[in-house]
Amino acid sequence: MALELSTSGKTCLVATGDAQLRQLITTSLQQIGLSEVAKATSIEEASEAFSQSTYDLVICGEIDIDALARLVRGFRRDAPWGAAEVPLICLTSRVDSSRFSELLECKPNCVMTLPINLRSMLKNVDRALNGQGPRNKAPRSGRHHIGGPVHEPAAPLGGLSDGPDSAPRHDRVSPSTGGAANSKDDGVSGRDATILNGVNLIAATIDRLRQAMTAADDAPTRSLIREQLAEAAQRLVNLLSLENLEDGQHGRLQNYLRHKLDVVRAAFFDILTDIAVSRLAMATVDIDEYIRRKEIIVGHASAFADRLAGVEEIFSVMGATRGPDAGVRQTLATAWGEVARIQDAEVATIQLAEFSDKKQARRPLARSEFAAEGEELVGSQSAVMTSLKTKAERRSK
Amino acid sequence: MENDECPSAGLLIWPEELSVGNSVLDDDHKAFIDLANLIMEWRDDGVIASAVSMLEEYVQGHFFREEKAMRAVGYRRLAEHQLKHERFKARIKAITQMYQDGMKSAVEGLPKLVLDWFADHVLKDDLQYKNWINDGVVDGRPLAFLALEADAKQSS
Repeated sequence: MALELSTSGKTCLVATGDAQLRQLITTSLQQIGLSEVAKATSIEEASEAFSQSTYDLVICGEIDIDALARLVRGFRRDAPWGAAEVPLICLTSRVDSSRFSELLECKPNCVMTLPINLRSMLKNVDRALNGQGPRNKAPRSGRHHIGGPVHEPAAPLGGLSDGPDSAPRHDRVSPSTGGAANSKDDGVSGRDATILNGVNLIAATIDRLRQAMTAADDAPTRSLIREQLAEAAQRLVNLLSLENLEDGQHGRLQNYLRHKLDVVRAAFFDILTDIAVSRLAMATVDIDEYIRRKEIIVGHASAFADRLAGVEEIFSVMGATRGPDAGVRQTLATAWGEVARIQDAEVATIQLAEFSDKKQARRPLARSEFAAEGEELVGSQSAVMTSLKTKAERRSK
Repeated sequence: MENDECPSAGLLIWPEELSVGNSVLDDDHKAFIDLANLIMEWRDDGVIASAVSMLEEYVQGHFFREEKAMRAVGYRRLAEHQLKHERFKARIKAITQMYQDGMKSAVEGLPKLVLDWFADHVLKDDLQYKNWINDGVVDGRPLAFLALEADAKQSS
């Protein structure tokens, strides 16, 4: 992480009804260099503060996610113009799937869950101030009203910014209404318009979730986002089952849908790569930290191996052509090598403990079979995996 | 809008007499008290876990700042001071580790530990460097950056 962040002179508004949380956020902000922090205890106070002064960042926090969703929605809706655009961070104690979607609709830049620390606050403030995170940064005119389900589609996926020559657009038509009147103008049936709009909305949702995934630090939030991604994928499958892309009767529509599907597929692969790389990074940090501590706790090697296997699994699902690049592959191979080292150390620890317990050496304290195997050169991750599997099998016997 | 929090009864308040003559270091000490107060007011597990985690980072960053300033002016009691920092850091780290491992009661005595150490250390040790250091030698960056730098130096 960078050791410098330009926070000097930035102003922040902290809105929360919880005094403890308010103090926690304020203290953490001051320690990352945001000394000008104003506080509000309600939507009304936050709106009033926003009407009197401009802020570079707003942090809305509530222990209860229901209360947080109300606060954020109210702030985005009721505060003076500019509140809809200001970088915003949400902080809550835990996430809940239904409320989380509602929260994302208020377009926060980041969603944080307790516990926090200075590092996580620094990272999220940096993201929010630099315009990263899930929020749609497209400029809007006039006041932006947000509330309820998405009536105004979010920014489309990067590759979906079609030019005027691309297939018909029906972004303003709700899938539930069918949009028959509009469809007639374009020569597209109501059913086709429903499918198109459905695909557009799902694509926008996937994009928003992908950005949320990038912004989320904690495992519960990421897990929730994964669930929502799976749900979006299922909705997409259901919607597309209405249309036979092979019948050739709706050439223009089908080309457009195929194009959309390619983009959505690419987005899913990006998401999978993000998940795998992020998991690998977290595992690598933990492995390094564990090795640095030099405290051998039996069972850690197995836990680390499980985590790396999870990463391998994602890459196998993606297939050979879309798998990890050389750098990631090297990191993964190195991580497997470290896990093998940890496993060797654990085995040595167990043997030493057994030796001490027996108070006598019934047999010479020879190097373990694992240590001997450690001398084998491990040139690839598959070799390490095979080596680990063999060890596990031997151990189970 | 609320700009000033009124301290609740029983909470710790930073006394002006403990000023070491530098606003950056004084602010660090005030934040120390704020975190102790948060831990003392324990209501939500997430808040307490955050405060404990931040206290560990705070200790790392603040001590790094102080030691850097003392080193810059050739403070002759630096080694002794540093040793006291290390001891306290180890205690905080141990408590944090126990708490993170699930022993919630580990933080029960933390506010008192912080208060006692703060009163003792600032009065006996920090005030001694008051006449040595000046604003020019104190690294004024936000504490979080110093914690990161201290961490990076420790790892390397």
